[in-house]
Amino acid sequence: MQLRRTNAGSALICVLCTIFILSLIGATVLLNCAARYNVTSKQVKGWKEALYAAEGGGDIAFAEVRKLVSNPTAAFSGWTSGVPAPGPSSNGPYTFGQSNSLSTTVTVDRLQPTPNPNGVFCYRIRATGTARLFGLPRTGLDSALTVGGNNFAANSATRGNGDTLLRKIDFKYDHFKATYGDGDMNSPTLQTVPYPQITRRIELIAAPQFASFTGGLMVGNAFAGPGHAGVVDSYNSKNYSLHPGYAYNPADATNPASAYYADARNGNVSVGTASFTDWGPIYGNVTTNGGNVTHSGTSISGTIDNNVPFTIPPLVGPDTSTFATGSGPTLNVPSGTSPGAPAQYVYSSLSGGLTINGQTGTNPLLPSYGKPIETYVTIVVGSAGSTTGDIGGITLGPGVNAKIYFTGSLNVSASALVNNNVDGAVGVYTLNPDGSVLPSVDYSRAGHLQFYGISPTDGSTQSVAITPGGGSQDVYASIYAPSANVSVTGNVNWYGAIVASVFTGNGNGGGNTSFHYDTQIAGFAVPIDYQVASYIEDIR
Amino acid sequence: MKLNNCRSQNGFTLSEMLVAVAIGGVALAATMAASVGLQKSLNAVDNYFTAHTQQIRIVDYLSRDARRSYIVTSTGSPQTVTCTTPEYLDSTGARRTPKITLSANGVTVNYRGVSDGVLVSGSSTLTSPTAGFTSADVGKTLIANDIPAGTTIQSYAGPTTVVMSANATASSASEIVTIGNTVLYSINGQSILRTENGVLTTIASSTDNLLPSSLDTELANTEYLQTSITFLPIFTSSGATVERSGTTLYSTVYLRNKRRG
Repeated sequence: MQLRRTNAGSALICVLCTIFILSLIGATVLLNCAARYNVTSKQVKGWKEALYAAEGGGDIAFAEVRKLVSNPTAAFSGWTSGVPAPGPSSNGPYTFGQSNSLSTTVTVDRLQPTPNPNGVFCYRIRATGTARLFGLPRTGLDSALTVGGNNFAANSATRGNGDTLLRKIDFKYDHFKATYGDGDMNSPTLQTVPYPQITRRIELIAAPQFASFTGGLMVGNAFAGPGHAGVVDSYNSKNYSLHPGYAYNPADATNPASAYYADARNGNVSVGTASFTDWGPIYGNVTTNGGNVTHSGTSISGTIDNNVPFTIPPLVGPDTSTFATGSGPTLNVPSGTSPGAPAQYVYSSLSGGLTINGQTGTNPLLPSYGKPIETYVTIVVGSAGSTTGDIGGITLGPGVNAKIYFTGSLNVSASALVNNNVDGAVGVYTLNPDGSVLPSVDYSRAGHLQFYGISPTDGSTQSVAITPGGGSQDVYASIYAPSANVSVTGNVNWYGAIVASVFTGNGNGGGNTSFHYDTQIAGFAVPIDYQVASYIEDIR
Repeated sequence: MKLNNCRSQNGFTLSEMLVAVAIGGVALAATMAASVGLQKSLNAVDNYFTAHTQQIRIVDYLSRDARRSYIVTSTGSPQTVTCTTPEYLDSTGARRTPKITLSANGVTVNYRGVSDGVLVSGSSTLTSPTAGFTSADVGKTLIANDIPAGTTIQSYAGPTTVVMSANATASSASEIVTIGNTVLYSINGQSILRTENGVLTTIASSTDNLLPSSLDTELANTEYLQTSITFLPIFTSSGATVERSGTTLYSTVYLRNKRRG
């Protein structure tokens, strides 16, 4: 008998089929898991890259804002509206990254800070960064859609949980435009996106950095003074009712009963090195960098801190390409000027001195008729890179606010710096753009005359030497000259503020040279750069 | 008719059948065991990846909040991170225009705040004619010179008045007060919770077994927050949960609003 079993051999096939099916199941689940993980990884990557793109746009705009100080004529070139005034002005999209998968657009508009005595502005930068999502258009791990179906992007309120809540992926529609329109809830529009993407939005505020008069005397390298008969103290020029026309009272600093006692004890001295010497009293705080100043042996009323390092950056002069060329010994400032739009002139030298006249009210129906009106002028003496822009003397008419940059020296007698303004701006008016007038709030007499020493590019030192000479010994002015050696000798009374490399006030210990800081000057300055003062992400 | 006897000759014997059934049973059992094991592995891998994704997401949440904050403070025991973020949006959802103040002390950018705050030393009442408080402000942070750090709005008393969580340290008739959102990260067991103005935010479907650690470092010109979150995956073995050490994710974020220059 012969059996026919060989015809029924199917066990191997069955085993192979089973293994195949199991492998198929295993491969499918692993593939599915790996695919979801890959999708999640790409979404995390895209979310981060979208922020990089947005911050890249912010950096592009911030660079343009900084040009407003360093190179104004090149700022915002190629933008939709040029320099924002107030804007908005936009640019982009800029594309970059893998296969140009990243893009950014940026918009800038101008904001008004308060107070704004220097007429400078802040800028709001709104940047949008978008990252394209490669791979399968699906949710990642731990993501779930609650309402809204497969597209789920039409309205943010319908979002699910997990990554979708944080990363806000636009699979088919731009959820932001669909829900928030332009960002301020105007005109929400259902708009499709060309491919799955993640978008992030940031807002920066760029604010000016100032070369500022934040203290009484601020020197980078060495301080010597006042002499035995001198004094460093302070006052507030807003207190003009103290005396007719001026606010300083030498007795305030030593009279606790005085209402102006606190105002009189802000004559702060800051030195960026250990080099500090004084003989007379200082009514204020003193800081040095490594010095050994103590209350013992000195007459310092405030705190002493010998561990305060700082440096004063060099001062770069303004771009004078749009300045008018000045000439002659007299300058009449035209009407219609403002802190943000001063009259601008450039002189090769003022070694022979300059008289600057302002304006008076011309409308007989207004209280300003015949009275001084606040006018504003910026003058540059010398040209970029030169060291010969010397100043011989300045006479300032009532109401004139002058910022005078110089590349050379300022070696004059005290009587050659004549500031005919008054503390408290008594009797001076501010002309508004609509023709109305208000009493001036530019209280500081010393703040009306500001000198700015442009740091020599060859590393040399500027010279500012104020000698007594004949006539008045009172100087109402402020100096910001980080590369200058400033010396004041004789019986000069300096009202205002000084920032310099070296200050010497009767360094031999004799003389009556005194320095009186006007606290109203703290807000006076010139912008030397911009900084990012605020950062926020619109997380919607 | 002639019967075909071939079938009877091709049949299996009982012993053959028993062997075949035994082998088949073993094969089926092996298949079932492999299938179950595969399913377990899938779940384990899926859970692992999901938890790891949550780990990443929590760090991303924290980084995002810290990056946009005015102030970030952290405590060690209990572990918390408190972020005070600007109130960027008004009640209608529109973006606010900030008030920018230049002073000798620097630049202040304030998206929501008042300059007419009235405080009485030792009192927890804050009034401001222009504040426009609403009941939704409860839990938000107040920042001012004469208010202790970390003070929040405890209760709403009207559009011009709220009760603070701490008393004013000095009296003022024109206090400049900044109002910000309060985002708090805290620990509950081995879970990480995020609340915004007191309302719990779902940042992960399950935050179990995530051990956080944070360090807030303030430097002269900047401030940064270092965070690490350790993931402890749990697997089931013979019916018992077994916790194993897992990955630790580190993050360092610089506070943009502390950046100067």
